[in-house]
Amino acid sequence: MKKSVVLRGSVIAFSAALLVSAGSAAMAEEEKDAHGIGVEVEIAPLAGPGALAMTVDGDSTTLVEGESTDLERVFSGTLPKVTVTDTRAPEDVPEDSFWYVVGTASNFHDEQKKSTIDASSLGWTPRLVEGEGEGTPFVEVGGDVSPSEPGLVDQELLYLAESGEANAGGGVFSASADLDLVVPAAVPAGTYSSTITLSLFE
Amino acid sequence: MLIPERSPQHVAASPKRTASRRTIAGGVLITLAAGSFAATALPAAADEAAPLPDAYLTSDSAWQYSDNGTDPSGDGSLSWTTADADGWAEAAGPFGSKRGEADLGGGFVADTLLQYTLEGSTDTVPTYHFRTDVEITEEDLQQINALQGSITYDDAIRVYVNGTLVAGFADDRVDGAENQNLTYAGNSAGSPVTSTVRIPADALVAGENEIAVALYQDRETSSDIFFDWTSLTPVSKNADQNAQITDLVMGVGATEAERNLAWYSDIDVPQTAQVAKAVDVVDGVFPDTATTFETTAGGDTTSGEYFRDATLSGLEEDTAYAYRVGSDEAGWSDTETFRTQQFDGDFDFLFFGDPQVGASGNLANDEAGWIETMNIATQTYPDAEMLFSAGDQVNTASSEAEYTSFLAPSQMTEIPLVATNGNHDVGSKAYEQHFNLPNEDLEAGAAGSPSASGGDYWFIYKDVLFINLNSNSRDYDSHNAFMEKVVAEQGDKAKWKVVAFHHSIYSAASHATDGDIIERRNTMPATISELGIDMVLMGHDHHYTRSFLINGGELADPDEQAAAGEVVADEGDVLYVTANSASGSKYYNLNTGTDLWWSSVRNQEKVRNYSAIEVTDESLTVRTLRSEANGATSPVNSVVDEVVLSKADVAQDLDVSVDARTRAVAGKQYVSVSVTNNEDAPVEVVVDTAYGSKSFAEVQPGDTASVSINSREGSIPAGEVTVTATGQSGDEQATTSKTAAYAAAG
Repeated sequence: MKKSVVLRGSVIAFSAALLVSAGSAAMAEEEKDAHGIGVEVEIAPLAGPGALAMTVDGDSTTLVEGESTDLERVFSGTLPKVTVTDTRAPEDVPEDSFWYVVGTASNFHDEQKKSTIDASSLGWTPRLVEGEGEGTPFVEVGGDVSPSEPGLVDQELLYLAESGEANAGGGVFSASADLDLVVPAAVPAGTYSSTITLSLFE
Repeated sequence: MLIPERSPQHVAASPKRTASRRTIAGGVLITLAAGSFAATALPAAADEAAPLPDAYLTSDSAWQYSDNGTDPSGDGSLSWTTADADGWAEAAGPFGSKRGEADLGGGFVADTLLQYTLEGSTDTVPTYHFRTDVEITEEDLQQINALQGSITYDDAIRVYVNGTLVAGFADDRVDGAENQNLTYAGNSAGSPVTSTVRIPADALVAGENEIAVALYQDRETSSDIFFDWTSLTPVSKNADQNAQITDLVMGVGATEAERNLAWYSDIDVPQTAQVAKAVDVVDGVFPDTATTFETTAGGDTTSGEYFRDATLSGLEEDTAYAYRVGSDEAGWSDTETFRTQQFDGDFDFLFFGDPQVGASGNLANDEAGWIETMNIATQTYPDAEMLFSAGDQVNTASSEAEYTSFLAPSQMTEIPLVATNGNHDVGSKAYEQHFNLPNEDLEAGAAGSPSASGGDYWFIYKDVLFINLNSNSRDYDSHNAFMEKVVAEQGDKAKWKVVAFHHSIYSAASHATDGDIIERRNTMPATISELGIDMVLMGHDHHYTRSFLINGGELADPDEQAAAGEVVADEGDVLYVTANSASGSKYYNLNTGTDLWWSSVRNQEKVRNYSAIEVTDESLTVRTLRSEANGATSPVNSVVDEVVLSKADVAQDLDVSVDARTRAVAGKQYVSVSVTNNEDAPVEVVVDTAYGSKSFAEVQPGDTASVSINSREGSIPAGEVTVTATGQSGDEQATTSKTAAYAAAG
């Protein structure tokens, strides 16, 4: 399912929220089913001709356990592809502006809402997509944000582009990110979920 | 009263010689007899200002003079500048002597022979004294701003008016003298030089003005002395205050997108440089869109004029421009033109050995030879982008006549000049007043004396980093520190590194065995090799030599064949090129008594040469040609030598370019870093900043990887990012680190 938001005018944010689920290691094998918990998404009218719009290729993702140690448990996953499409006429693009997508995560809660994992435990490594902005001078990827250093607690840049050049350069640019969750080994087992809110600004 | 020369219709009736009191009476009589002055002498005529005299002094004016080496004041004071010159001889100039003879050579001939040595001694007379009077009417004085004079002298001079010092040239030593009236002074210059003196109206009085001149011999053994006050003309208050702009020269800028201008003017008025695209300048009228550049330096010159520097920047590539210097108020120079070419890629430049105009003793001949070489070179290489002089632009550092000849070729205002500081260019500040040098460090390679001129400088032209050293200074530590700093900071920006200085350390004529040259040869090559300099351009020895490749002062490859057409440099191997005379003013015979182990090709045919240097990504080609035929077998543009220098296939630095800046996103400052892969293969890139790092596993050829890293602060100080690129270079894996700075933000 593809969620889509549209940005009309500048300096107005539209967001897509994305559910991130993390399973406990004790039940790792059972984590294969993704929890299709509905997620709230603000959906503006679909992009007609002449809009700057963001789409997210899916509304949830699942983190699976990787190389945990006795001290900490490590989960990883992938942010669904985020695409910004600019179909505005060149003269409608504000001069010397750039658009950018930032993301922030909420705390993880287990199903019973009894245990919480702080959002700072989640980090990401943004990357651009080949053919949709990778290697292009006017598209910049966000820096890596490591779990706890400081983690996705505040808005962090996923990627950005110089509006004018991006508009002229085809107008379709995508990014994804590797997601990493690191929690102490003492965290109670359970199925936790968080929401990453992605926002497009110009 | 003294009646100076007046407007042309009166001159015929006036005596030309008018200066001394004894000739005045005659002047009046003749003038009155002619009748034409009668009206101007009447008070009734004062309503309508009489025309100002054409000149108050000429070469033919009479002077009273003392040439026997005595102190005319008797006590070292300046009382002689206003006292009656009783008992002095009287004659008209030019005054002079060359070891007792009137002909000084170079066209300087004395009408009045001065006493050369002191009575009963072989030492020269240290100081000569001259006096004359100039009568200025009250009416004339009110009409003038100043008197402007032109004086030709050797070696140093001071001018007093009514007892007050108004001008001094090459006279630094007088202040420290035990007796200022009997002292040597000067800068060991060769031929007499000409300077302009300006006497402001407030230094003058109505009636008789006492002009006194002290003329100084350079030293006990100096061969010649000369004094010729050629003109003294009124500068009218009513006259247009038009600046006479001279000596305009277009120097190389800090990059291929800049040009450094320097020029002289006769009056000290505000001036600027104006540039516009040539297509927009119609009939010499500059459009409103013309760009004005303020002067970056200016001041008095050693010749009594005023200099100005300005830099034309922000030029576009492959564009024809027109420019001029001056001002709307005081007038503009002629409109000059130039064109930029592509800002990257291959290019040619022209290299010229010691023009040293004036060295032959026949300045006109030297100038003609210089112009001829320049014309042949630029006609043969019409796209050449630089005129590179090996130093000794002039023979006498303070000679404006020689500078006029050096700057005579029309190319001097069209193609950027690179002036190198030679031994004939020091001893006067004129070099640094004439040339506007980019990135000049006056502390590096600065000679100690107060009359030293210039330091070391550098610039980047396309893919070549040029470093130009003032080799008059043998402060090797300061040269080395300068080169190390420039290479560390700029070396990554260019593919080639070329150093130039005047005193060839690997030449093959008379200077090759000079003590100072041997010292430089023993000292300079180590750092030049360590820094990976590819080629060194030199002059001084007035013949052509191309070295074998030299590494750290030794042959890089003992098996290199003499006169090899192609040489391949390993790390630290350097090609040294010494140019022959471009003007033909002087040649030195090849050195026959020395082991010239460094010399691969040497040539001395005593015909003018120039070199065309072709720069490509792969090689530097130095082709040296004759700009003067040597018989039928060696016509103009026949080749003296040609060598292609390339680099051995060693692991090179990866060619990645890095740019860093800041941007604000959602209220936080981000450090943005862009890394472009200019290699033919993918590279792995790691970007490190103070706020985090980012890796790019594979940046494809031609691609740019850009990252913005969140500082999580609202404002951040200036800083630097480090980029490490790893990839294939040739057959080997190479890793290159580069840094880029960003400014404080927020």
